[in-house]
Amino acid sequence: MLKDIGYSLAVKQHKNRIYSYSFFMLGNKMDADDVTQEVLIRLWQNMGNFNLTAMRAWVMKTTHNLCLDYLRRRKTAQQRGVDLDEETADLIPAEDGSIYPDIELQRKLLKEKLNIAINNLPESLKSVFVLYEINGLRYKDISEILSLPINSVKVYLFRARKKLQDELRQLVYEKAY
Amino acid sequence: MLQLKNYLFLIFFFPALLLAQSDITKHPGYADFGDLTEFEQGDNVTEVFIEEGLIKMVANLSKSDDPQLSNMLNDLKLVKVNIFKPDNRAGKDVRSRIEKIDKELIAKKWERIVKVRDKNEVVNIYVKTSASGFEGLTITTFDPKGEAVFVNIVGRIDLDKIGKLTEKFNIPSLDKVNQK
Amino acid sequence: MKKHININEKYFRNDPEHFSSENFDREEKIISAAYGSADLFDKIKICIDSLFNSEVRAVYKEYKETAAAVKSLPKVECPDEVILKVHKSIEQLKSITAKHSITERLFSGKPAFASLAALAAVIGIIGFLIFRSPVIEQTYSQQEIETAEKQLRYSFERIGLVFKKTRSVIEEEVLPKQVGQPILKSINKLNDLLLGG
Repeated sequence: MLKDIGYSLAVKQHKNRIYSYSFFMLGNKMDADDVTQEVLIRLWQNMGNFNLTAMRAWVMKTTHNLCLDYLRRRKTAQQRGVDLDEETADLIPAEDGSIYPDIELQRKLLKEKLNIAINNLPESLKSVFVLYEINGLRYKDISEILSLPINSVKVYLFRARKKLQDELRQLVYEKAY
Repeated sequence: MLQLKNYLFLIFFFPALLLAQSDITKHPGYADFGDLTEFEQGDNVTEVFIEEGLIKMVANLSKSDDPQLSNMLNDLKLVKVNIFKPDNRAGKDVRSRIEKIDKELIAKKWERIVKVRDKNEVVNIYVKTSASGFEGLTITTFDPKGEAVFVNIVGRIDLDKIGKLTEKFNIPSLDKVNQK
Repeated sequence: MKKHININEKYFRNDPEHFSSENFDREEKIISAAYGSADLFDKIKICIDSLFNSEVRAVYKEYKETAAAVKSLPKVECPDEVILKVHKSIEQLKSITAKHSITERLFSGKPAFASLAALAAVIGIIGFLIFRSPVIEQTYSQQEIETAEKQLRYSFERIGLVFKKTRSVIEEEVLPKQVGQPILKSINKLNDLLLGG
């Protein structure tokens, strides 16, 4: 009974974080669904094996490892297409209509490009970037989840931001020519 | 009270289980995995052992809903599944056990239809056939980062009917490979 | 193409010969300040620099725009159907582990209980051999049948997972590398087995 209550709370607390991370790492809804399910089932199986403070790190570490498994399998597949799929547009909620349609369109385009650019980041940089910028975790937490020294996390984050900017420039360039 | 229940369980079911096992082991579709309990530690252990009598009862239950599935289950004599997560030390032994089972099954003329060695991951799928069709299906898998899975289905496996079974239980088919 | 791209590349050349730690630190600080994660002192310093240095200003502005876009990305939320599926799987697991725990208790007891259990087993076997009728009629409770049905479903689902995994491994890793004709043949055979074709 206590296990069930604890589990419900844990699911409520972590489900969006798991889903969001898987979604950005894998770039499609279907794989994010699968990874989230797998992590939450493993969480149930392991309830009681860790305290609440260790849970977040465990959850994100498990999510990260499963995402890597998916990416490893996908890597060898011949160009299945790693761009964010069409479902992305449906999944990311639209913002309210703006009174400045041009500005709104610009923003929308930037967001689209941003999603593609994030998805194009190498997985080691993407994981740090998503954990820090999207999931809002601290260097220390990321260091624990990815088993990296804190300094490496900082360097990876710097490289990710830089690479993201390069990707965006590239996308702007492709659009222009 | 609980222990008394357990003893009653032993008295009534253990002999039946023993007898059922001694019969089923002679079936050509039966695969002996040996004693897996030494690897089965911790909470992440699943054991399924459903013999003919109980499978038939399930088949009866689904008779009205799905007669084809019911027929399919009626021809099965045993469904045996062991799933566990071995620790690092036991991983080596599990791999040896899978190799031993592989040798035994090949010696007993089982046909290995899938053999995958992906770094440390192992997946083997075997079928036992006779003149009248399939007699058994065995699967052994081991992922050092995950679980070890041992499956043995004994009985006459009708190709058409197992197709229905995959739909019923949402088993993914391999149709995409054919299209390659 | 935006003008400041060239400026940026010139200002922060990233090849080993031109990439000094000084440049790295400076660039890192500008980017961190743009993303809002630099400490206050660095932030002020970069803001002042950007007032007097057009190159710094251009880079800072460019990263700041991206940072704002990143921070305004809408949250991706886990769909309810995923949670429903998880609960369903857990219910199935619960029913399986419930049955398993009974057998676990039986066989993992203390030596004294184990001896008693063994004795009971021997009595049971003898009793069974004496009183068994020629035709074995086993009766099962409704609950046992329902549990067996769940276990069968779970077993077939696990078999399905192995097939799914095998498919992806072969499709994505073995076939492209080794062009394994025998494996392809085997997979086709398995296809026939599964699809009844």
